[in-house]
Amino acid sequence: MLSKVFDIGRRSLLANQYAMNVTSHNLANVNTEGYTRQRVVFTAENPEYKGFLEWGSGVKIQEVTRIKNDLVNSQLLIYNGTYTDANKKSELLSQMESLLSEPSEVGISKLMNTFFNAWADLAANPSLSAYRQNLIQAADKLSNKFKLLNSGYEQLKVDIKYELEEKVKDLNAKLGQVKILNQKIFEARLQGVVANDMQDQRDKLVQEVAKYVNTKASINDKGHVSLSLGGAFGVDEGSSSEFKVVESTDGKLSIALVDDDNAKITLKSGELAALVDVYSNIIPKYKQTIDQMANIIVNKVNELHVQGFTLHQPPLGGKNSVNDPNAIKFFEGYINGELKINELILQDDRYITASLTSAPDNGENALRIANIAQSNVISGTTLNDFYSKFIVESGNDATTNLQKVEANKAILQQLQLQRDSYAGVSIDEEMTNMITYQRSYQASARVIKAADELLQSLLSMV
Amino acid sequence: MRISDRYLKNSFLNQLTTNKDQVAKLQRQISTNTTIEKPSDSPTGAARVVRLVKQLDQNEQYRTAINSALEFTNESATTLDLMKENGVKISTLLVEMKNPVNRFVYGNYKEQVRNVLDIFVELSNLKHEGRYLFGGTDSLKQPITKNSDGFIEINSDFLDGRQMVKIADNIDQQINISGDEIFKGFANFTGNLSTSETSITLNNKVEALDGKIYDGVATFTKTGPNSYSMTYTIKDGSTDIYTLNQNIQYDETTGKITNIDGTTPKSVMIDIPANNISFVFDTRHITFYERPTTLKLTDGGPDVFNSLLKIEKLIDNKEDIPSEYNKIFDKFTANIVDKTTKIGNIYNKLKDTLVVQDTMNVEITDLLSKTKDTDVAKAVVDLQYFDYILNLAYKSGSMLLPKSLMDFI
Repeated sequence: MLSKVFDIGRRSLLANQYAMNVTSHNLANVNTEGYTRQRVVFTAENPEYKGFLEWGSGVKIQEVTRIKNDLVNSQLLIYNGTYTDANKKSELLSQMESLLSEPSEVGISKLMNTFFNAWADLAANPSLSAYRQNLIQAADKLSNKFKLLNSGYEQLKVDIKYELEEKVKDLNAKLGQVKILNQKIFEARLQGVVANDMQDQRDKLVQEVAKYVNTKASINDKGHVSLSLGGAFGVDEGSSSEFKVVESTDGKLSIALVDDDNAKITLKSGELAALVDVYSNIIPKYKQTIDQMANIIVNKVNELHVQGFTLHQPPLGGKNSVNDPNAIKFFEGYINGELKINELILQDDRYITASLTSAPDNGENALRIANIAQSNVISGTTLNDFYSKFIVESGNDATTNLQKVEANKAILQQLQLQRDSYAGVSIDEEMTNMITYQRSYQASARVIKAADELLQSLLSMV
Repeated sequence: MRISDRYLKNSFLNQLTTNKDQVAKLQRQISTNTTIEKPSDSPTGAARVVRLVKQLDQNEQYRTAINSALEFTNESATTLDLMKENGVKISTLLVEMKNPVNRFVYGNYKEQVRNVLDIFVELSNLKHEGRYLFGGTDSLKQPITKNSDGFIEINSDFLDGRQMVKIADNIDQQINISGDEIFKGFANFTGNLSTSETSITLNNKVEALDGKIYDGVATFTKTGPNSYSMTYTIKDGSTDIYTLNQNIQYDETTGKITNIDGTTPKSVMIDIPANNISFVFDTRHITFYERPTTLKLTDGGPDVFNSLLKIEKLIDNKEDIPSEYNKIFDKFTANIVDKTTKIGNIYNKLKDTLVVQDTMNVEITDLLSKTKDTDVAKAVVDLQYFDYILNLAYKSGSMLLPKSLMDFI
């Protein structure tokens, strides 16, 4: 039975050597993102029974398991989506805030004040070219701001669409990788291997998919992960879907299957939801407000401007309608996001109709136009108050979203810490294990040595 | 709770980031001296800043306009004062001329009268920053000129124009004394005659040198696409004592009269010696547009300019100056004093409004500062505190993070 001792010692050496291997693997991956610590599960080898006696057979490794918390992981799947959604939206809203440049010297509110004050200045000095040029400069600055704002929105939409397309490509690639890992893990499983590291890679990919879009993940009894993306099939066993960006005729974006425009993802969270929402809803809403203001400025100024008289001798103007072919409008219109100033006025400032009586020093028409700033001309309020309301709305949008970011970030950080607490590698713990395994290995070696000495003793007797 | 190395690292980083965010925010607030850089910093605060800045801009604009108007009104007051002095001077001269002692040097008064006339014309045509003080709203034509027929006429097309300046949210202030308030006696048409009118009648009063008042009636009748006939009748009770007929042609594009009775438009000196009537009648300043009729006709009578010319002639002819002329100049001086008071009141109102606007400026600036400016003292103390916390975090991090069991085996 001395050979049995050798056998137990050998098994123990191997088991502890393997355990040392797992410990070193854990230590090597202490900084690997998404790595789940592994544990060797020792179990006693099946004993032998001789008569009434049980002869133990030593130790064996039952399995090498990943230490993870499935509840935390499924929560992470949800909060990764809600956090990235809020965070991306916050980033985009911040860019939109920057475009407004409020409150500052170059925001619409300040430039609008300057524009209407320039009319008031002109009203006090209607025949002086300096004040007419000052007005043209003020109008030009206001026009440029509207142009800048609108082109900024357009550029942002172009960038969002480009980013969305790139992210959808990445999403497709990730879904493809999950599919491949599904297959590899299954193949390994068939060979009796658990494939812990590949499962880690797959879990990491699933979390990354959840950062893009609201994702539901489930594992079947074959160990395949199935992913449902906002009601659309993403990955199922050995197959995966490919998605594309679709823009409808009304300028709204959606994500649909490559070969079926109608099979759309119902976006509720994730970066893609944020990008689509800002592109399809928030930018058009902001732009509509800006357009409404610009159109009111154009219409109200023109309405009064055509009634006034130019500084020419004899004066021109004095029309009752902006539709009169000879009416001299201040703005040609709000065209392609730009307050277009009448070319005649840009060429010759005498075309500004400051006078209401055709007298050169009558500034009553300029005064009437200046008074637009104080009149309830838009949604029952003044232009400034309307714009202030818009600023509050845009500020609230950004603030509310920022609060969402902070709330989700706190939860996400807590969940990540919980995950790290469960699955993260502790050097202290691994070092302790290493010492334990080292000592066990040394003890096993000592057992073999003792058995060897016993055998030597026996041999010396012969 | 199990503490893994990654837990320790991430937990430390999360706290460190929170501290650094606070430090960065405070640093930004101190360096920009504003707590509201964008609407999301404080949505209602940002809107308040926008509204306050608008008020401040408006306030600045009012203050600029008031300061400019103060200069204009001040110069107007000074000019009116000079007019008053010269009005008094001519009244004195007329009294002197009546004194038999001065009969020997009667001719010398002509020069003095001429000087006063020149000064009156000069003062009437004074400008401030390109605008005539008493030219109404016409800066292109000097208000008073001598016409080719040798009498003084109103040249300005918009003598009655009020120069309005916005000095507060709901106050549009007239800052000029218009020509029609100063230059009395010229029967002057101003305003627009709507081209859709087929017939229109206007009335005025005509004062004779002896003070008698007659009725004047002007009737315009459309005679063609671009023409009107005008009949002006002076009545003594129900009797017509004078009638003037004019055929007026106008340019429909410019709205201006092109000719009167086929010749270049001129004003007319209406002289009716039998009734002691002598005044200038002027139709040249009417405009013709589709716009509504705003036509006005001022009262006729002896004006100071042409009265001085007449006095010159009387001196030349060594004739006595009728005592009625004294009344004309006394009336003129009284009117100037009245207008000086008016411009003085405007000046005072502007000054008072400026004080209000200055006070508002200080208050709005203060409110704006309270709304958006950084409380630097508080921010610096907070920064010191967070800097202390940050240093503490670094210190504890540097002590704990590098350690493990490895250091002891």
